[in-house]
Amino acid sequence: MEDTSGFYRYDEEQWFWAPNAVYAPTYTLLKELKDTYDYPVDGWRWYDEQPY
Amino acid sequence: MSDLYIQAGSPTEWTRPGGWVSIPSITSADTKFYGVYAVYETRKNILNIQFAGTFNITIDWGDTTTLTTASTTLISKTYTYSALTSPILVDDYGENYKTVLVTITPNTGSVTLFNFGLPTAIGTQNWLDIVMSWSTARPFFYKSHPYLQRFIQYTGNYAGALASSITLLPNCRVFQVPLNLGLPSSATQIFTYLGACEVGDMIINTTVAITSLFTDTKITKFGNFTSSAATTTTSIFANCANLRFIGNVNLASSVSFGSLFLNNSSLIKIGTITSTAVTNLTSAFSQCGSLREVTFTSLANVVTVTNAFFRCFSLQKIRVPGLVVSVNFLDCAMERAELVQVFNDLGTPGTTRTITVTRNPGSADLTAADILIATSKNWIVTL
Repeated sequence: MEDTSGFYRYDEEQWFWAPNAVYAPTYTLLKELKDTYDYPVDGWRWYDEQPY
Repeated sequence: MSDLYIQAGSPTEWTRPGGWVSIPSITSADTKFYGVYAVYETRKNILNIQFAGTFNITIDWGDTTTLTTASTTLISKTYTYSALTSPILVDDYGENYKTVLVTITPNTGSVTLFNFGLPTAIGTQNWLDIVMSWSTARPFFYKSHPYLQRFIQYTGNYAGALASSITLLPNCRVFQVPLNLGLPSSATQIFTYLGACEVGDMIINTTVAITSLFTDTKITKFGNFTSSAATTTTSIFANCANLRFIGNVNLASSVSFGSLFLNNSSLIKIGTITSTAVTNLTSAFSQCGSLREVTFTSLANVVTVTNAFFRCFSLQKIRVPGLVVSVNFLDCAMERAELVQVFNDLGTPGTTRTITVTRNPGSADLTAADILIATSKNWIVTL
C-alpha cells in the first residue's frame, strides 16, 4: 500500500502534500522532526494517511 | 495570404497503393478536380456529389461517360463493375474492386462547394484519393469516408467552413489543404475524426476562438502551430492519443490554454510555446505521460495552474518564466539541474505560493542553496 503520510495543507482550493519536507521563507518542516512541531504550522499538519 | 494553411508533413511516408488509376499532376494555378473512386464487385456503387455556386462544369466519370452540368442539385452516378477495364484489386477485407478516375473541369462560372457529405442521400463513400485545385471552392466531408487515404487541395476558399466541415476521414493519411479561412465565428472541431495524418504547419491569422480543432483526431505529428491573434485556444489538441511530436506553438494572445493537450498520452516532444498572455493553464498537459520537455516563453500572467502537469511522469525539463501561482510537479522526472532551473524561472509572488517537486529523481539532491533560490522569492518548496 502506498505511503501517503506527510505534511498536508489545504490552500488555494487545493491540497498540498510534502511527504518529506516543507521549506518556506520563514520556517522548515522535516519528517524526522514531525512530532516536535506545534500544529498547525502555517496551515500545515502531519497526517499518517492522506486526509482527503 | 491564406489565413490557415495545413500541409502534410511527410507525404512521402505514405505509399500510394499500387493498381489505383494514376492522377495527373496539377498545381495551384490549375482549376481541376481529380478523384479516384473504388467500384466494388459486390456492392452498390453510387457516387453522390453536389455542387454550390454559379457554374458550368464537365464531369468525366472515368468509365467513358461524361456529364456537363450547371446543376446545384444532387448528382448520382451509378457504376457497373463489369464494364470497367481497370485492374481488379483486392481490399484489406478480401473484396474485389476496380478504380475509376473522376475528373471535373470548369467551363464557366465558379463552383464554391464540393459536397461529399450528403447524409440523407443513398450512396457509397468509396473515394480513395482526391487531388484538386480550385481557388473558389472548399470540400464538405461530413459523412464518413472510411476509404479516403489522401486529400490534397492546392488552392481553395474555405470562407464558409463550419464546424464538422472536414470530419470523419478516419483513415486519411495525407491531408494537405490551404484554408483561406475568414472563419465565420469560430474554428471549432473542423477537423474532428481526422485520420492518422502527419500535419504540417498551420497559421491562423484571425482572432476567432479556436477550440477542439483537432480533438479526438488520430493525427501523429504536427508542424508549427501559429495563432498569435486568437484569445481563446482551449482543447485544440485534446485527446489526440497518437500525437507524438508537435513544433513550436505560438499562442501569444491567448488567455486560456485549458485542456490544450489533455490526454495526449503519446506526446513526446513539443517546441517552444509562446504564452505571453495566458492566464489559465488548467489541465493543459494533464496525463501527457510521455511528454519530456515543455518550454513556455512567459507565465507571468497565469492565475490558474490546476492539474496542468498532472501525471506527467516523463517530464524531464520545463521552463516557466515568471510563474507566480502555486504549481504541482509531483511525480515528474526532473533531475536536480532541471529543478533548479524551475526555481530560477519562478517569479516573486506577493504572498507565499507553493511549488511541489515531490518524488522527482532530483528532489533528494537539492541543496539548501538550491531551495533558497525559491524561498527567497516567497515560495514554499515541498519535497
